[in-house]
Amino acid sequence: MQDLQAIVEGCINHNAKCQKQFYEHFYGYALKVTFRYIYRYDKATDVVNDGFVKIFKNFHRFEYKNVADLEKMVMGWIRRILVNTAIDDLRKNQMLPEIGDLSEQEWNLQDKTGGADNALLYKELIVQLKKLPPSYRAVFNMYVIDGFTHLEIAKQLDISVGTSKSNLSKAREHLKKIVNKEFRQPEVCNL
Amino acid sequence: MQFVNDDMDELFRKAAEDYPLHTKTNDWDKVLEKMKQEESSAANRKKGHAKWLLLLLPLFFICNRFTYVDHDAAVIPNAGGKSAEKRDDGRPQHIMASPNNELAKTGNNRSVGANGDIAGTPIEANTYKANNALTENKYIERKKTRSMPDIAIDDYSSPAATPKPAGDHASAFAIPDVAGADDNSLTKTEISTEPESKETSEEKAPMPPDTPAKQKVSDKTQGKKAKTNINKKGTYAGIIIGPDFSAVRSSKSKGVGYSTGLIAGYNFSNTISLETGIYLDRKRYATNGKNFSIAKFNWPAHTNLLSISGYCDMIEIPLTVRFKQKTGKSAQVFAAAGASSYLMKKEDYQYTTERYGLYYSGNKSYKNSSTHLLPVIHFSAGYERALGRIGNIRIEPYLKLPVDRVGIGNMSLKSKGVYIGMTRSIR
Repeated sequence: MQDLQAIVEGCINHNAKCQKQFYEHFYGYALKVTFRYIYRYDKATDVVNDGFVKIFKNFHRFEYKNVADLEKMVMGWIRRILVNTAIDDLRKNQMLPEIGDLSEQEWNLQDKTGGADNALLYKELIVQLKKLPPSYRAVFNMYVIDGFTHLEIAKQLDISVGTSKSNLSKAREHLKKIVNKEFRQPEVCNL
Repeated sequence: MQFVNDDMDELFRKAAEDYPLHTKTNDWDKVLEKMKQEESSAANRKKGHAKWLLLLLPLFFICNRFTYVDHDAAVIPNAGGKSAEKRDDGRPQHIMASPNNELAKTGNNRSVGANGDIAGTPIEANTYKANNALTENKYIERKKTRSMPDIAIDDYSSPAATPKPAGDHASAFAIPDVAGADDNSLTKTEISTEPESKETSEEKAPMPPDTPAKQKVSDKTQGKKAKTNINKKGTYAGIIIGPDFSAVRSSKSKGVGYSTGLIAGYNFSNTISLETGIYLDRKRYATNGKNFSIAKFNWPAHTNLLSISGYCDMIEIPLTVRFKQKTGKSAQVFAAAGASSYLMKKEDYQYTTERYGLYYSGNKSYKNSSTHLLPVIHFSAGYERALGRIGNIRIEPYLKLPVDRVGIGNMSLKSKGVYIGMTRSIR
């Protein structure tokens, strides 16, 4: 890929070639962010594409000072826009829980990103996260993983701060039970 | 594998970054198609707005109709010898003396009187005759050189003469030869003529016979045609609008804001006035974290603000002293200085932060965040011109410098821009 700064500048100037490169480079990252919120994979890809349309439309608002941190800043910006887009989609469906199992084809257990040992573990954790009710899932994702405050979550989801804290607490409790149940290893007595 | 239950959050964060998801499903064509759909729907929305603007066109024509001043309207005096007003510039009308203080009408329904104005000053009949002949001659001479109106002068040789439309008497316009007439014989009742090119050009074309309606309008115009005085003593009010370029400290301006509002003032004299108003401003700016305080943001600890940009909507209440200097009859230049109070109604920001090596972007919006009494001083200079009954129009570049910090981020906000304003005297 070309120098990221050149691509970012090209996107600011609505250069189609740069936009395509940008999309292809950050698509995987964007999908991982969105898939934590949106239950179904095909729906998640649609939301990612909608998110990129918003990104390119508002690229002129992206500012950076230090080129060395550009990639991190871009990823932070993409993350924010995609989370907002995913939340908008969940709210459109009134936070109704989705049904159906997740397909194994959606996972890439050949991915060596986090190490083979952890890949399976991480996959299962995310599966359990996705099985939470949408309102709990959204709050957990936003607070624990994406760094939103309860005030921001409350504003985004149109709930009170108290409800946000309560949902987070319930989500943690739920996940803790599942994690302890599914992944607890029997203690091994060392002789 | 050993789980650490008390660090579940950290575990999920790692899982979120590195979980194995199939990501080769990107489809650029779909994104491109969606972007084109967005553009076409945005274009359709703009067209819709343009259609609504067309509805304002009739309003423009109506305003134009009622502010139109008929410069060609004749000065119609009152019958019965009441003194009529002179022209706006103080020059007397081209008139003929009429006997017995009777105001004879011209072919254009203009009433005439003696003494070069339309005051009905009585004169003696014989004096009238003598003067009239010479005056006629002078009139013709001037007419030839300066294209004066076709007044049927011969009709006024007789006291009982009644005027006829100018066109009818063009051929009957026979002036007796009064060569050798002594100008000294002319009395003060001679028509004083100081025609200027402007006046003659106005009267060059013969006026059509006035209809009663037109005469009414002319009456009104005559009655209410005020002198153009750019600095009428007393109160005035108006509106202003203009672009605004704001910046925080040494940062550059980010985008164009605007300022619009109502002004009210008092002219103490031709040189000084005091003005206030209420403006609705939108100021756009951007800066780095150093020039913006996040103390009121309720962010988690160790959050560093990297950059922030946005806008604020505010109500501005200025207090200004204006020093004026006339440069012409209906124009002046001015310099102004004062201070403004800000009532911040809404602040909307997009920001980038860093916390523990992770970068976040977000947006925040605040309503009614703060009120500041005179946090800026402003200086301006400009040009103002009177437009008759409409009022005065002004153009005023300005500079506003901070003396106190404003907004939720405690910013030193400076602004520059241009005001374009219309004011009108109210008494």
